[in-house]
Amino acid sequence: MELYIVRHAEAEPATPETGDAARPLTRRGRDRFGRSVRGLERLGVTLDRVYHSPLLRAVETAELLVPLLDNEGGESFVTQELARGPREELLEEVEGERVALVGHEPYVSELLALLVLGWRVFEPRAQQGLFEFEKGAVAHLTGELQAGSMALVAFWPSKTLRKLSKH
Amino acid sequence: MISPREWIEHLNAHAEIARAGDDPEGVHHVRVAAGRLSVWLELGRRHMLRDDLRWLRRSAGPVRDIDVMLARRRDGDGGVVELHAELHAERKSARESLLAALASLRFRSLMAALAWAPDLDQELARDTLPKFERRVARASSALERAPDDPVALHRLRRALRRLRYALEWLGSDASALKRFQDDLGDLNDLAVMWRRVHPAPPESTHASAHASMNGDASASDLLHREIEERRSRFLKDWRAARIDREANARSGRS
Repeated sequence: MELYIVRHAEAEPATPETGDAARPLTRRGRDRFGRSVRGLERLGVTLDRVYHSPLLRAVETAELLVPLLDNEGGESFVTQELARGPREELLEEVEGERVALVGHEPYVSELLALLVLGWRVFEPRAQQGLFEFEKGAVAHLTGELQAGSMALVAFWPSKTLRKLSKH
Repeated sequence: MISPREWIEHLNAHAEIARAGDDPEGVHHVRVAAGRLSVWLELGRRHMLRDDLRWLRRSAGPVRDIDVMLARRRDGDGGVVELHAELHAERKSARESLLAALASLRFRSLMAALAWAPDLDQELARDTLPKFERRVARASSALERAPDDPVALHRLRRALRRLRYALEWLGSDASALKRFQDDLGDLNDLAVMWRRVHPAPPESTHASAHASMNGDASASDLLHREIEERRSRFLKDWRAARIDREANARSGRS
């Protein structure tokens, strides 16, 4: 599996109306991640599956990945497993060959640590800053979707992908 | 702005009814609500959640098809009564699959995501409407080229349904489309039943039901005749309506 772990793009702050769950992307977040997707396109990234958390900022970030999704057979799935710390249930649920998972910190860092390093116990203080998983960043992994079985191929900050989109 | 709240509540309420299992309308309305919400998303040019809604509709489809067939039973018809025992057994299995879907994390995640989805901009929805109209036009042309093709008929039915839902989301009158959609829906229900009782491999239990119907061929003949009559009637009415639309368009009337 080629796996792309994506942290959602920049979102508006919570308001009494939206709460945390319904925070939309900012215009800048949308624009920047749109350019990042063009950067991914230039890198030849294509997807047969996109999984995303149900929170609005993840849904909207996943929406921006649609140009990379196969026209025939590409499919998207919403899962609350991407709105919480990584569990076996997530690994059992995810299928496909070229898959994007769109989620939130600290969970995307925890997922990265689980898949590459096999870490199952997460201590936020210890892991803080282990990965600079800023908003809109993408980690590319390859291998079997099991704890400790994936190799980190690349880690792209949002700025890097946006620069790629210009060339 | 166009809010999906009413149809999200409708979906939730009918998922409960479908779980209870006493009223087949629960399953039917889970499919209707999922279809309407999918069109709402498409009007907003949103892709995410549509595949999840399609999965939900497909989860409920087998139960719905069997409910429709059971509702058409003719008492005293030996062949159909034999098929009924098999249909009831299949319904039990299909219902278990549906219940699993309604209890699944995917369903809960879908409902959460829908609850947090922002309302749809009316102007954007209006700008997207022509896409639905073009789809109906393409499906109609394909049907003209192959009027006996059930796939072409199915594609038109689907396109009409989505256009009708789109118009209703926009607050426009879709009663004319509803009539055609209902006609095609009835025709599809008959076709599903026909495919069910049509000759099956000898080793299957369908053979006994079909043999019963064939021995007394009237039930099978009647069904086939009804399908052909309804199809002819639909095509005639649809062509007449299309000619009217084209004439109105040429004269500048809506």
